[in-house]
Amino acid sequence: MLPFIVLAVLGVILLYAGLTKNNKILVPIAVGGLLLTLGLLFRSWGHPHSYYNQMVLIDNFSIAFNTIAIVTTILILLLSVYYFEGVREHIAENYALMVFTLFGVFLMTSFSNIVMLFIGIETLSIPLYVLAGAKKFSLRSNEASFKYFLQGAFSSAILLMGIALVYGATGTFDMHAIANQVANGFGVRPGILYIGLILMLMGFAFKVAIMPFHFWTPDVYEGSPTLVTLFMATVVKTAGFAAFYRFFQIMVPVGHVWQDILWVLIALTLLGSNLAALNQKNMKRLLAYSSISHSGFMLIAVMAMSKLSPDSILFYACAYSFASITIFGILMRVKNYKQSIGTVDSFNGLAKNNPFLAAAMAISLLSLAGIPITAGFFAKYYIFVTAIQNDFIWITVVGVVAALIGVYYYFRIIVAMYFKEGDTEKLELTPLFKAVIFITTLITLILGIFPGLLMDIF
Amino acid sequence: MLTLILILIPFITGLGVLFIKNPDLVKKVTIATSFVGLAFTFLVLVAFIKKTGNLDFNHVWIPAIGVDFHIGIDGLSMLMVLLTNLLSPFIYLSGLNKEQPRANILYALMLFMQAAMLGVFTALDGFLFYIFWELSLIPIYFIILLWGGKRRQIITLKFFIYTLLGSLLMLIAFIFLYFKTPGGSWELSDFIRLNLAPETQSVLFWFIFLAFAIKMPIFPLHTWQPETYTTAPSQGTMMLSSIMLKMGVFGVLRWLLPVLPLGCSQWGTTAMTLSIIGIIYASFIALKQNDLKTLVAYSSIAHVGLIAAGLFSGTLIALQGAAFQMLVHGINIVALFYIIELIERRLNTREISQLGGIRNKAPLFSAVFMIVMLGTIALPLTNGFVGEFLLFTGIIHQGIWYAVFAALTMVMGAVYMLYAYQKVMLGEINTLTATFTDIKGVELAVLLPLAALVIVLGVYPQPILDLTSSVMGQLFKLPL
Repeated sequence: MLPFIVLAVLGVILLYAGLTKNNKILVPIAVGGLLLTLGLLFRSWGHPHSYYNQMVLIDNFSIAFNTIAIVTTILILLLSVYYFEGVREHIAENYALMVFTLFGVFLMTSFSNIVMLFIGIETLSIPLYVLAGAKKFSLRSNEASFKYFLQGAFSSAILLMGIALVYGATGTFDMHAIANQVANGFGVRPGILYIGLILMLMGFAFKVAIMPFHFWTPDVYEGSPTLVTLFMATVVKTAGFAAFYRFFQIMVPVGHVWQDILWVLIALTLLGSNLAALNQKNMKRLLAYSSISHSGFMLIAVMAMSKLSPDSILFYACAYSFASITIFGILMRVKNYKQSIGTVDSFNGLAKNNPFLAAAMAISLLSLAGIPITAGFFAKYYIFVTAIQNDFIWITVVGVVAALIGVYYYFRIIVAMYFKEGDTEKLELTPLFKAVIFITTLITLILGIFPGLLMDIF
Repeated sequence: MLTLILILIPFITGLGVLFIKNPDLVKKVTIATSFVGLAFTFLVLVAFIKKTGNLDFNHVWIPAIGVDFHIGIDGLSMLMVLLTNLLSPFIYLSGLNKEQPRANILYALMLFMQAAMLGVFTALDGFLFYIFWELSLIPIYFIILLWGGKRRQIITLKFFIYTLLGSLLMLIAFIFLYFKTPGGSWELSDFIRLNLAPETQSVLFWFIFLAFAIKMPIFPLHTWQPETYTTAPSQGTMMLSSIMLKMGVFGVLRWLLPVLPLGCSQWGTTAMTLSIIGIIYASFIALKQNDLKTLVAYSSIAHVGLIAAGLFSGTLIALQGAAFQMLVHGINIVALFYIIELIERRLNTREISQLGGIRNKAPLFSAVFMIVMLGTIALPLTNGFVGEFLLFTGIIHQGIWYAVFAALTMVMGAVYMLYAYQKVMLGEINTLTATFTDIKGVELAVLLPLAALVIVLGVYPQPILDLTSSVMGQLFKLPL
C-alpha cells in the first residue's frame, strides 16, 4: 500500500511544486519519488499481500511490471529535461499527470477485483487524454486528444458492460471467486459470462491497440507531443498487457470462447499493421503501426496462456520499451534540429556526423526487428516458445511473416541513416541525453547476449 | 577450448581492426591473423586426427531455456573449418592493391562473418547454431550495402529477408524439437535421439529444409542469388559463394539428415528433383549471360544443385562426394571470382562481349584460368572430377534418369565455361584488352596455390575422404 500512497502524494507534490515557477526542481523530485516507490515495492517481493478488502493484490507479477513501468518513466523523465528545454508553462502539470497515469498502471497490474481493474484503466486513461492534448495550440494535438477521449470513453463503456455481465453471471467482482466458479465448471447461464468476456476483450483490445480496434493509434500517436507518445507506447502498453494477462489467466477453462477470437485478431493485427507501416513516411505514424504489431506479438503470449507467458510478456515489454526510448529520444532531437514533423527522410545521412546517435538508433531498430544479439530477438523468441509450448504453431508462422515485413521498414531507416545523403550537422547533445541513450542501448545489447538476466522471474 | 580459440581469432581481430585508420595496415593485419588462424587450424587438425586435444567446449549460456554454448569438432566440421580458414586468407589477400574506402569496417565485417560461419560449423547446440546462422547474415548485408554495385540497397534487402524467412522457419522447427526432447534440450545428440512419428517428421522436414534450400540455393528458391552475387563486392561474393552457401549443405548433413531421417526419405526424391531441375535451368541461363560474374553465379547454382541431389540420394558414396565437393567448389569458386575481379580491375568491365584475346597479353593468367576452369568442368585429374564422380555414382542408385539429367551439369558446364573462356581469353585481341598486363606478385600468390589445389586434390583426394568417412558412415547407418 505504501508505494501506492507515495505515488499519489508524489503527483500532488509535483502539482504544488509547479507553483514555485522553478522548473529545475521538478525532475529531481519526480525521479526521487519514483525511486522511493521502487524501493518500497521491492520490500514486498516474495510476500504477496492484498489490501482494501482483497481488491488489490501486490504479488511478484505486479511488482515486476510496476518496476518496468517505473524504470521506463524515470528514463522518460530524464529525456523530458531535454524535451521541455525552453518551455515555460505547465511542465509540472505534465509530470503530475504522468505520475497519476503511473498510479493507474499500478492498479492495473495488481487488481484482484474487476472493479479495481476498471478504476485502474480509467485512472490510467483520463490523464492520458489530457496529456495527448498538452500542446494546446497545435491542431493535431487537440485532434489526438479528442479522438482518444471519444474512442476511449466508448471502449471503457463497453468494458464496463462486459464487467457488469461477468458480475451478473458469477455474482461477484472478486477475481478469486470468479476463478473458482469458472474452474469448477460453469453452470447455469454461461452465455452471459461469454458475452461479458467478449465485451471485456474488446475493451482491452482497444487499450492495447489490436486490430480492428486500433484506429485511434496512428492519429493519437502522431498528434500527441512526442514525449507523451513515448509514454503511451511504452508504459501504457506494458500496463495494458499486464492487466490483459492478469484477467484472462483465470479464464483458461473457458478458453474455447476467447482463444479462437484472439487468434484471428492476432493474425489480422500482425499482418495488417506491418503492411500498413510499409507505406508510412511520418516517423511517429510508422512507430504507431510498429507499436500495433508489437501488441500483436505480445498478445500471442496471452492467447497461448502457457507457463512461460508472464515471463515472455515481461521480457517483450522490457525489450520494446528500451528500444522505443532510444528511438523516440533520437527522433525528438532530429525533429528539433530539422524543425519538421519528423519523417524517415529526416534521418538521411545521420551517420555521417552523428555516429553515436546513428549506431544507437540502428541497434534499437534491429531490436524492434528481432535480429539476434539484441533484446528484441529474444523477446520474439520467447513469444514463439510460449506459443509452441501449447501447440499454437501456425500463429508463429504468421508472426515470422510479420517480422519479415517489419524488417523492411526498420531497415529502410537504417539505410537512410548510413547510406542516403543528408545535411544533418553534428548535433549538440546534453550529457544527460547521451547518458539515457547510452543506457538504453546498452541494456538492449546486454539483454540480447544474456537474456537469462530477465528470465524465470515468476 | 581449441575450438573456441578458432572462433575467437577472427572475432577479436575484427574488433581490433575496427580501430585501425590506415587501410593498408588493416589489410595486412587481417591477412597476417588469418594465416595464424590457418596455422592454428592445422594444429586442430592434427589434434583431431590423433584424438588428443580438447576440442569440445561446453558452457551453460541461458539456463532458463536450456541453451548451452556447446561447440565441438568431428570429421565433417573439421572439413568445414578447414574450408573456411583455408579460403579466408585468400579472400583477404584478394583485397590488396585495391582502393577500398573505410577498409577497417569492411575487413572487420568480413572477420565477424568468418567467426560466425566457424560458429555455424562447430555448434552442437541447436539454438547456438541458429544464433550463429543469423549472425553470419548481418555482416554480409552491410558489406553489400556499403561496398556493392548497382541497385545494392534493394538487392541486399531482398537477400536478407529471403534468408531470414528460411532461418525463422528453421527456428520454429527447432523450438518444436526442443519441446519434444525429454527435459527440454537443444543438444544435437538429443535431437537425433528423438525418433518422431513419420507425419511429424514430414512437416518438420519442410520447415528446416526450406532454410537450407534458400541458402544453397535450390530451385525455385534461388532468385535472390544471381543478383546478390553480381552486385556484391568481389570479396563479399567470394565469402558468399565459397563458404556461406556451404552452410546450407552442412546444415542438411548435420541437422536435417540425422534428425529427420524418415522425413528425408519421404521427401528425398522431391528434393533431388528440384535440385536437378535447378541444375538444368541454371546451366541454360548461364549460357546466355554476358556478365561474367552472373555467369559464374548461375554455374554455382548448377554445381550446388548436384551436391544437393547427392545429399538426398541415400548412399554413402554420394554423401562422401557431397562433402568433398563442398571443399572443391569453394576452392574453385574463389579462384574464379578472383580471376573475374582481376579482369574487372584492369579493364573496368565484366562483359564477355567486350573482351577477347587476353591470352596474347597474359599467358600466365590464361594458364591459371584454364586450370581452374577445367576444375569447374570436372575434367578427370582435377578436383571437380572426384567430387562429381562420387556424386553421380550415388545418384544413379536412386534411378538412372536422375543421374542422366544430373550429368547434364557436366555437359552444360563444359559448354558455358569453355564458351566464356574462348570468348574472353582466346580469339582476337581488341583495343580494350590490349592494355591487359599479366599477373604478378600478390595475384600470383593467390592464384597459384588455388590452381595447385585443383590438381593436387584431383590426383590425391584420399586424405579428405578419410576425414569425413566416419561421420558420413554414421549418417548412413540411419534408415534412409
